[in-house]
Amino acid sequence: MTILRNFLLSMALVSGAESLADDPFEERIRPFLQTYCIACHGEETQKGKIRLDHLRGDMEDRKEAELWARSLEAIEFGEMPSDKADKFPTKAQARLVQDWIAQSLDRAGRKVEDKAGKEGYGNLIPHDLLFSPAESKRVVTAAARLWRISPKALADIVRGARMVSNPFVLDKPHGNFRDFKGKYAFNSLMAEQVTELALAHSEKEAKNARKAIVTMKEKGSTIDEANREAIKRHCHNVLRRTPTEEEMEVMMGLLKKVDSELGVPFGLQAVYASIILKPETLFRFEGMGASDDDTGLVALSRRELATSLAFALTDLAPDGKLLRAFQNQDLPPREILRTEIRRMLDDENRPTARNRLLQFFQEYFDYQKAEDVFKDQIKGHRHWAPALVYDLNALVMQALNEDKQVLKTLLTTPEYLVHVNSHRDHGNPLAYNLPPDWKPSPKPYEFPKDQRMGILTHPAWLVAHSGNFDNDPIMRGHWIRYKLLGGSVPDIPITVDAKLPEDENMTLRERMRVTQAEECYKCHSKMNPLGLPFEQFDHFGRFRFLELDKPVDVTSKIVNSGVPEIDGEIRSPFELIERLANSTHCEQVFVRYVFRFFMGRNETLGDAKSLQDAHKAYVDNDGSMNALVLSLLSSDSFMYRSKPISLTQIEP
Amino acid sequence: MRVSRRNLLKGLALGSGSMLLPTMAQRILANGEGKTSAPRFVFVIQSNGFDAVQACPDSIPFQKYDDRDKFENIDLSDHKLPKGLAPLEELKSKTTILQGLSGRCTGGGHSTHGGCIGLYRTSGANTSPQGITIDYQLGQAKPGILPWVGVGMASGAQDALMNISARAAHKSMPIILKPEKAYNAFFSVAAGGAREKNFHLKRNLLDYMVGDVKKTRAALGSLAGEELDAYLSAYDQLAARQYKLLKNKEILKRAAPELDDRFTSEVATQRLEAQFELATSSLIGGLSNVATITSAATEINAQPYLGIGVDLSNHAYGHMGGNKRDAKGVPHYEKVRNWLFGLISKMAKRLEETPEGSGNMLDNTLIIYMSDAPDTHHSTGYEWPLVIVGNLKDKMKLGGRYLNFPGYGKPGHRTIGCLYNSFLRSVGTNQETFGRVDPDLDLRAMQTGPLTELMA
Repeated sequence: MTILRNFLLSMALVSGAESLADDPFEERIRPFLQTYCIACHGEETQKGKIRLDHLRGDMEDRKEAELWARSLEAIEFGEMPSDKADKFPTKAQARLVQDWIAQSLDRAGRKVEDKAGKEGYGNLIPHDLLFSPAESKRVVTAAARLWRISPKALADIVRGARMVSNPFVLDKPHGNFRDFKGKYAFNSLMAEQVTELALAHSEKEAKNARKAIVTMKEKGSTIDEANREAIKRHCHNVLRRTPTEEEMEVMMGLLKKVDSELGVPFGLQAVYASIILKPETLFRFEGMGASDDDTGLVALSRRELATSLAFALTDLAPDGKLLRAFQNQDLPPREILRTEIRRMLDDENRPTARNRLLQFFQEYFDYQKAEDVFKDQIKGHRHWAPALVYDLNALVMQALNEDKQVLKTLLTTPEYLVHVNSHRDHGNPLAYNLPPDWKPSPKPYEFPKDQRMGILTHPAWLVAHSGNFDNDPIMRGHWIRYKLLGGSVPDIPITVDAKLPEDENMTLRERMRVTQAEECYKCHSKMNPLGLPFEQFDHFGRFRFLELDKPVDVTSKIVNSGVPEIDGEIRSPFELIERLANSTHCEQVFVRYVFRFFMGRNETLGDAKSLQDAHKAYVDNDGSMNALVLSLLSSDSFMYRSKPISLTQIEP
Repeated sequence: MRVSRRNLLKGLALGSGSMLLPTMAQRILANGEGKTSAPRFVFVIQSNGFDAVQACPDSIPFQKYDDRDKFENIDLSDHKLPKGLAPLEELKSKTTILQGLSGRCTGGGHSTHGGCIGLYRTSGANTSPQGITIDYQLGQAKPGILPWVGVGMASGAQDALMNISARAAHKSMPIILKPEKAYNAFFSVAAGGAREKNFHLKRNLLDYMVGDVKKTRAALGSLAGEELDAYLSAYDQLAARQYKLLKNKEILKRAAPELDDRFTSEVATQRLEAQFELATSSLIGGLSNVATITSAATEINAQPYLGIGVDLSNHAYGHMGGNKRDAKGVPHYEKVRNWLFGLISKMAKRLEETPEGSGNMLDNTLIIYMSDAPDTHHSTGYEWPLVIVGNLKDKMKLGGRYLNFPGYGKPGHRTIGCLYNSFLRSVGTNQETFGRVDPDLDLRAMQTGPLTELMA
């Protein structure tokens, strides 16, 4: 049993003592099935060949247990009840059933794959609980971990060595965040590449050190002393500390062995490379400090905090200034954190931290992907995605500089920065429906409110969420479902042949009717209605009135989105966007994503307080991104870890 | 006296001291004494699809897979190979064209990534292997000095390609994309001069690192986590490899290919030529019995073939179409494939020229050509055309055959998993199924056991 299940179980055990009476199946579960499930999965109708009316709650029966496990996932992902149902359970009702299934399966020793900790599945943690005051009393439950340093930090360590491809480079984010727990698998290729880099870097450094060694010898030092001094200096540069006597002996051993086998200065080169390859250099450790027995938590040490903060806001190891700030024993760590975060975010000369915020928005809105969507050139329109991405970066930076109602501004602003880039020869005003001879200007251009509204109608976002030849309403709906509604969609089943029919005479909406087949629509209903209003634009991001010479249909109907203020008929993308931008729920979901980006992991219920505080800070400070990040990076979730589990407690 | 591998290596082995009779020499000596050597496999994987019609000689009427109802075995000697395969004309009696095997479990798409040899489904967002791939499993069953070598070419300058071959789920093995790096990795131990010194420097460093990481691992206890374990295991593997190479230094010295400009060329196609040389030498020298060679695998928006005068991107000519004889994309596909089959043919001929046992090395080697996008640019996996050069004597009966399997789901239809079962059987592994099965097909009749039509 993994983390989420444990939560559900503990919740069930605490809250369920009274609610789950003698025979919970008969009292709670069967009535639930009767009300919400049996109409479609009973004796008469068996949609998807699934029948639930004869279930007895017996998890010892393998077939029944499988059906329960499948039902659990269907409720978890909001797949069931289907949008075509007449009645929907409340979240609390559904959760009670989920708890019961999880608990019963566990009791019968049956494992269910848990996804809540995995990248892309963070939304499985119930939103209403995360933002419920009752949950804010929980303590952090995230365990200490080991991080590989960032690609940027590695490049910094071996600077000077020729690097064609960075071995630590993380994959493209693909709708999630680039830098995330679970993305750090280490493989033999990485080991080989980083070894080569360390050797190349050390070759130069060892040659440079020779001069100092020769000088020392001339002044009367022994060769051993001179070598020790050279090693010590390299440790200071790379590890920022002095090696212990024991470490020094081991390194001298390596130096002598290699020198005797291969000659000078191969020994020193090997030692230098070994310092770069030390786990201490290539990984970040946390949770090495003493634990606080009152809370059952481990506080990150001051040095660990400095390191975590530096990586969070600069993607690099801490500089001397930051390390010194954390050495000030007169101030509590939280206060130092807050001062340093402010300093870094406000630094006008080195906007590194501000750029990290930009990176968050790039990955959250996932618009840089526009550059990867290949489009054939067509007559009368020159498509060049980098210019669009550049414009949108500028728009985000502007919102960050103003730092007021950042999310709402980005979702609703009619003012775009167009052609602010240096590549204006490649840019194309037609992408924005501006005349071909439109003169670039550094000032924002205001579009009519019924033509453009914020990032979701910006050509860069539209192109990023399109295919080679068409719009992609499914991907657009998927984005809104996850990133603003905080919902989930089940994984694509293996048998699905995800392809739309090709017919030049049909609009995309018409071609997408195949997804309304029953087995498809239970998932597609989570995405298509949210994405279809964006048919207002073509796949190059241009506003249009017609599709195939017919008026383009941009209407939709949102059912059971999980956020009542969003549900209902939709007449245009702009109406949908306004509803989303005015929703507190969506704002909170946004806070959850900021949390994930800066913590590099999914939130758990133990982070409820940090999330609630962060949202409050955002609201109290007029939608300030700086206030939100300041709150998160000085929260308990950032500063504490749960006590390490001893190895004997880990299941085999 | 005829100089055979046996004599050649016998001399070599004795010269280097019979106490240290190297593994390959032992193997070859055994061959000469009537025992069989391990079957060899080369997987050549190219991106952008291989349309069934392009694998069909002009003189054989082409049927779409939907229309193929029964198994057909056509003698190739009566037919001229299609243009893309023309360099194999001389080797026609040793060439087999396979049509109609399906691989729906991979999901198709622009690329199946490692799905083509692992038979699992990947997506653009997640290409991580979900199981061992056939190449690695074959290599593990009958390893040379190393179980497997992977080399290839990409249009860009990256060092390696991951998530093609894998030794287990989520354990990808790197395909080395730079010929010089591949040379250093496999042959520097015997290269002399600075290269050899660097080999030993690295060996010392790796030994030291294994010890150092182990110490940290122990100090951290439960805090260390899987990241550090993976780090340690990576160094363990590298260190072990250095010693294996060192042990076989003399053999590697003989086998090493000649370094030339192509090994460091800026031109992608020249780099692949060098990689073919290197892979051929690896097989002949016994470095490995299995090699995987990729040609711009997984690459779509790229122009890997500028060096042979194809200045269109894979995407561009892919979209011109390739699934009809007169489709506009076909001449481009043919040009690219013709060049690649030229390299395959050269490799096959070198193996054919190398005596082994009572025949030559090609008698016991299969070079399997496939695309990582099964059937076409936007592939579906309903069929997966393949070209195989060579044979496995006494185990399989390949060569001179054009085989048509019944279309997807029809009686007698088989999956590519069955082909992999056949390969496994030839190395003594009796496995029922390989990779993920296709839930829409009959498991027993269509996806289990070897392709009896190919077995000896």
